[in-house]
Amino acid sequence: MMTTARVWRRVLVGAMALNIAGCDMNVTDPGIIDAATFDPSGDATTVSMSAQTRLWTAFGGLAIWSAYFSGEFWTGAARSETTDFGRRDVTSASLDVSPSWNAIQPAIAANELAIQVLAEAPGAATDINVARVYMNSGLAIQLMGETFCEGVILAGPPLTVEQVLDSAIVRFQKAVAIATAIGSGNAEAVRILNSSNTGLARAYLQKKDYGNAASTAALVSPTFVYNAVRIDDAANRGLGNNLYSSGTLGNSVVVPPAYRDMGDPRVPFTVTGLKAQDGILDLFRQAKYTSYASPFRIVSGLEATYIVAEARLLGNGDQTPALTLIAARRAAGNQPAFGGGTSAQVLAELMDQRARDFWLEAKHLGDWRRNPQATPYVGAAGTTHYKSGVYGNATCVPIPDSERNSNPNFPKS
Amino acid sequence: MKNAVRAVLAATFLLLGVTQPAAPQGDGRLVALRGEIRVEPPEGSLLGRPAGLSVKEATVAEALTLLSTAANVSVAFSPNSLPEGLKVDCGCQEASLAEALDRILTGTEFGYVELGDQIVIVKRAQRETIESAKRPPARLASATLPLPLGIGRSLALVESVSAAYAAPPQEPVILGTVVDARSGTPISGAQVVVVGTQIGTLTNEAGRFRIAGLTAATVELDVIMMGYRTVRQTVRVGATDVRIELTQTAVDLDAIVVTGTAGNQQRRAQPAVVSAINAADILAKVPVLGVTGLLYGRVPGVSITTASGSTGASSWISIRGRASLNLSNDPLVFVDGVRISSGDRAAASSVGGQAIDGLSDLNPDDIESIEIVKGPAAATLYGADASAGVIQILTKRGGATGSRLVQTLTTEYHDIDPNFTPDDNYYRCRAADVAPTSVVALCKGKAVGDVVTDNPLLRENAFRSGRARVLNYSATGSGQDFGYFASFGIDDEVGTLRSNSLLRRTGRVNFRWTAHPNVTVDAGIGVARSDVQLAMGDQSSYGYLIGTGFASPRTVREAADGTLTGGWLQSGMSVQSISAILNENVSTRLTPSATLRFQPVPWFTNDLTVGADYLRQNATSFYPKNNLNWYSVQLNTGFVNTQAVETVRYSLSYTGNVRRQFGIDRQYSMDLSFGSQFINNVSSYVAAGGTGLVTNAANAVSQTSADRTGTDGFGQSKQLGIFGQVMLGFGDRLYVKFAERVDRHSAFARNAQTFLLPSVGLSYVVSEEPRVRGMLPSLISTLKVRLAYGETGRAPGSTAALQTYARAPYLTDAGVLVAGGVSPGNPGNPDLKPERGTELEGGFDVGLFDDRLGVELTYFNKTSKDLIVTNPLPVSAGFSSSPAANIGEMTNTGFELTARANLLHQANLVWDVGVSMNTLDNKIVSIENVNPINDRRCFKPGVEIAAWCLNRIQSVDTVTGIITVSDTAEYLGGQMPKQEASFNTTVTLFKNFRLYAQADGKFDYRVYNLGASYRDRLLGGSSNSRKGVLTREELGLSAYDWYRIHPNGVRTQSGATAGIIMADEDYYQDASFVRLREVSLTWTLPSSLSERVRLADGASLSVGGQNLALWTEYDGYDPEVLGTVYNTLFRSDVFTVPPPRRFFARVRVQF
Repeated sequence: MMTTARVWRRVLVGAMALNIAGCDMNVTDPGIIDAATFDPSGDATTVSMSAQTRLWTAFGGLAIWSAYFSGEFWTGAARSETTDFGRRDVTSASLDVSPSWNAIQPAIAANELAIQVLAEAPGAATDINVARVYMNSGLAIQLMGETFCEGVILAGPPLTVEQVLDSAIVRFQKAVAIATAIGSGNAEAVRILNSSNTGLARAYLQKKDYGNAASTAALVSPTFVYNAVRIDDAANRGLGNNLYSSGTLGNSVVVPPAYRDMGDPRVPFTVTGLKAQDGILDLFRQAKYTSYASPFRIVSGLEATYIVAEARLLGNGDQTPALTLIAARRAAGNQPAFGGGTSAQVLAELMDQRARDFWLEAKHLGDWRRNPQATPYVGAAGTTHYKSGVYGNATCVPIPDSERNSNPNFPKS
Repeated sequence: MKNAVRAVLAATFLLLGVTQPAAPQGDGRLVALRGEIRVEPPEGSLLGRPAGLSVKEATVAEALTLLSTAANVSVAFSPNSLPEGLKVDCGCQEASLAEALDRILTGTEFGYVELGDQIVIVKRAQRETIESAKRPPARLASATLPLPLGIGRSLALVESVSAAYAAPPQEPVILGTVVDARSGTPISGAQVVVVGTQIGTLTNEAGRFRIAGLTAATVELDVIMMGYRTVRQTVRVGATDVRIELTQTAVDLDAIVVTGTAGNQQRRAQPAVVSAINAADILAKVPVLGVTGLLYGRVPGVSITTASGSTGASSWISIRGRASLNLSNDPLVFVDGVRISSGDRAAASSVGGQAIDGLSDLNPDDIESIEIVKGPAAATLYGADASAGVIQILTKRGGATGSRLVQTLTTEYHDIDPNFTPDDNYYRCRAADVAPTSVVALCKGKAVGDVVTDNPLLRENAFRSGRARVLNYSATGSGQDFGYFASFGIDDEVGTLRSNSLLRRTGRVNFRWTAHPNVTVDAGIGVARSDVQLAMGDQSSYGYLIGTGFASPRTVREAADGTLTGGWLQSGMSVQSISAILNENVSTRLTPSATLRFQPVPWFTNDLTVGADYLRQNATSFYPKNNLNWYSVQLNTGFVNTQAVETVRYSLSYTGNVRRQFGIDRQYSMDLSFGSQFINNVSSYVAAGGTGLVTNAANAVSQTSADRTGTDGFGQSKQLGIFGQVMLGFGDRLYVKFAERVDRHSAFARNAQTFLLPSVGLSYVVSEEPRVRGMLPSLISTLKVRLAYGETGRAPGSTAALQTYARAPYLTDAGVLVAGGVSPGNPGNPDLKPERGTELEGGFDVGLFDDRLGVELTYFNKTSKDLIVTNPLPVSAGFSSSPAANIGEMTNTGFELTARANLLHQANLVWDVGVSMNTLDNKIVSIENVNPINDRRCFKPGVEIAAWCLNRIQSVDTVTGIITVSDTAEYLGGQMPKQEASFNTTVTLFKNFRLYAQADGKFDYRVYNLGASYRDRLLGGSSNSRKGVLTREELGLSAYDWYRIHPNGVRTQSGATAGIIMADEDYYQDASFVRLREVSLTWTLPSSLSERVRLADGASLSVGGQNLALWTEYDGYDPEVLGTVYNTLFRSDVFTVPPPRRFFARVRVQF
């Protein structure tokens, strides 16, 4: 019996010792990337390309919300907060202000953080990865400036639109400098150069610095196109064209009558015969983006041409580039020739052509803010909204409370 | 040992339903002998031989010698140890050897054992040993198996007593009945324990018991029943008409609790409240289909929130309010000392805000009792994570009843009524709708402006009468050194919504083996196989209620045969299309546990427990391929997603307990407990999906042709705790406890911190203090005061402290996906600390009017410090997830009251009532770096956590229809009930009829009736509710009331425009309610009748209903539902199916 008791006792003591001393508290989770195991500066291409992909993804999301706000899309969603947004009846507390902000900010932050990591490295002055993140950061900041009433970069203080555009200009200039240093023998450097100059011109134009806008845009090849690449991969739907998924597969995004009535091949849509999600609007779906793999046009020589035309027209009253462009674009749209007119009429026609050419490319809101009188298809404040109530008087999207409340640089109530 | 193996095999066969086992060998057969019921020894037993002895005035030794000769049996004994002065008579010519031995040994301390071909006279247990053994073994509740019969003293009180070991396999019995002393009503479920042995049993439905395996002429029986004073009575072995009367007491200080305490486990010694629920008693009154059903309204401070009325959907258990802001507020759940997974059961397939209950795998019929530790004051033994309380589920066990098998068969049928009618949809016909060519079926031919209504759910018979069929079988048995419990249950339930069902099969085998006088092994395993199908609901766009809640009668179409179709949110939707969607979760769960108890000396016990909770889930979401445009473009090609989730939790714990008594009359006692606990949680999942099926029958992911996806996940956490506790006692009435625990947790990553969790407590039974006793008013029969303080901790996810990157594959300009991309993930927080819960509680237990009225009053003050939140970073910071941070402090204070009263105790009428009430006052003490207003909820010091705070309506311009709201958000009301109360009553008529009813209520809290807000107003021109479509005149509303629903605009006091939703105040509604939750009538078959129909142990029949009435001012379907994600701080009602009403019948037979 004593022997048995001794055995039991030893078992217990051993188990207790195992319990206390033998328990390894370390946990390894293969489902996370521990920062300790990744060196961002040692893999510049990964960091730079990842940040660029964030911009491409952001572009589609922002384009949808921008379209709601500027009337390129009507919202057929049942959700009233979305209707508020489409009615431009929003404050920083409005719930559907956040999605648009949340769309663009990761693109800015990813490229800005990449700049922080890469720009100080040796050889940065001729590093294509550095040029790329400067360019994409500039484009993302530019989009923020055109869409929102204020801006924020990397949880910093609120910036005025002017400051936001200036910030974009600085990035574009950096990208231009590096791409130029790399030289025209590098196709990627050429792409960055064209994109950055277009972005730079766009920022100048938004600031109404028509001289710099025209001269910078003139540097861009008219045939140049920088597309945001999208793919059809079910496992990575976030890398697909979300205007296709929302506007073609869903039932809450509606092509409005003004665009349907154009009969312009640049504004393709389909008639479904269905009701939208809200049960009110008839559902007309966009057909500009026809698959998950349809690319977004972010920057193009065509846009540079438009910038030159608008800058010359508004800068020194030169109608010639505008009329030339209008003639070409009306032909592309199967429209009869434009008869010309006053500068205001030419500008209105130019903006109308922009609206058609760049439909659903996140530019219409910037156009409207820049030239409110000349930009068509935007519901006027106080007029009847297509679903209920009247249009509000917001001309830009406020920074949402989610940012204001969590950003220490904003004053708290 | 052979018997033990045989019993396990028999139980296994029973579980598998293969065959009925034969009675264990050695069990006596009841025969009539000279008008008495007694046990006839089995064939071949020496004890059955004729004694052939006749002796007078002989010493015991002489008598035994003569008996040996007369019966021709070898009788071994030690003459020197037998009493010399005792003279015995035995006219035993015609008696059996057993009867003769009983008579000879009457009045001695000796019994006998049949060993092979001889009888051995052995000494029974020494009194001292017995007394020490009466004290239950010390154990760490988190690491132990429960006492065999759960409530009160255990049948396993005397593991170390060798006398029990020496019990012969064949012996006489005691038959008797346990009744209420005042009314004579039989008491079922009472424990009858032979003092100093492991022998014992439970009384049956008729209050009767039978004990075999006895050797002595007389024994002492302890009869234990929750709510009654324990009785010890000396009984003659062989007596067949023993009547034991128990006196009800509303205060039972001698009851044993096993949860939350080590050392002395008597309730009198506990400084903090450990609430107990007698599951067996509740189940005897009313059928309960889930563990949460056992908790509803039973214990003050334990709040249950029903997620939805769907069969199989989860509920939310909250104890003493929320203990954490962001971390889980689920109490820890242990089954027989082993921690199991609880709360929401994670699975990939979304069913719109619903989830499967993590406790649904437990069969209530297997549960003996549930003990609840409400917070840190008593939960120190559980360490990290115990802030939100601990629930210990104790399953049934077999006691060593002396070769006995009791089988119970229960069958139930439930009729389930949906108990609600979905609201109609309204539409006012327009000109185009009423034209003869109009396709708007309901308006065609009507006048412009006519209002039409539709209810697609009713029109298409979405709801049905559900039903549940329940079958439970259990067997409780024992041999001389083992006991077992085995069960098998089936719960086959069909919900009120189509495609909603539950099929649960459970089994359990618990086994106790006294391997050695000093060593006991408790082992058990629970097995559950569940198949739950949840209907699409709540916020799913393909949900039943949301599919029609957003719909318009305008879209109703008329087919050629006059059938109406449409009227749903999306074209193509119908009851048929929704019910064709399959959301199925098939799970297999194993919960094995084993406890080794080693008691080298009576004052030193060691418990080593190992256990596991293994859960494997296979979740499938399937949208059938169709050409009827039922779903989206992609889903119409057929969609399937499947997920395999595996969750394993291992635990290993040790508890040692030393108890010594000293001083004059041993009035001082000291319990020293120590031990350790290690828990390792591992979870992983693999999921895959795709679209484009060829046929619906071939619906594996491998058969999809497009949109193939695949993913996996992994998580692990570990925790280790070491504790020590000292409890000092004086005179069995004053106890002081000190405890300390040291914890480590893997959540704090590489630099795992160690934190200390102390607790202290005082318990004083004032009414037993001689100097005070005389000073108490005579109406006070019992008075105990208690005070406790303790701390716990709660840790975040296992890698919360780490800085991480997120996977973010990048694309090249050529569109090539490169998988190696990254984006900033979580910045991490190396300074992260555990949440700390501290609690001070105090109160008293008082028995009044000879303990007919018992009151338990407790005040608690629970503080959660270093609250952990995933502190939201501004999105502009660029991280994809926010770091966990310690941001503040929160308190929960309140009172808890339990009262039990025995109002009437007459021969044919017994009336008992019980009341429980609690208050809860939650407040944030301090908070940093958190949005003070987030989604119309307040996170501010001095305000209840997540209280509704919104822009309040200041004025309504009844001319312009403009609403003015406050510039800033203001407090409107809280989300947690500030008061809860429950009342139950049991009336027993003519001893065999029992009427039971329970009502409960929650008060002073608000639910956001978001569904109504949407239908009335937020849909704008497509609003479809009565208030949304009818005019002010038709509704009969004043301009003021009308514009509150339909403002022409909303402005802040500063003049800023705002959306209509900013004037949503009226939809945050008072959700106070009172519900008649249960009513049942049970008829117990009288013992005379059960014997006549040969139902040896009795039977009962119950009928009743649940959720029979609801009183509330709330506007939605039901104020209790939680129509959003489980356990969130956003209590909204968004098209959620309310709890159904049930009517049931149940038959229970014991044999």
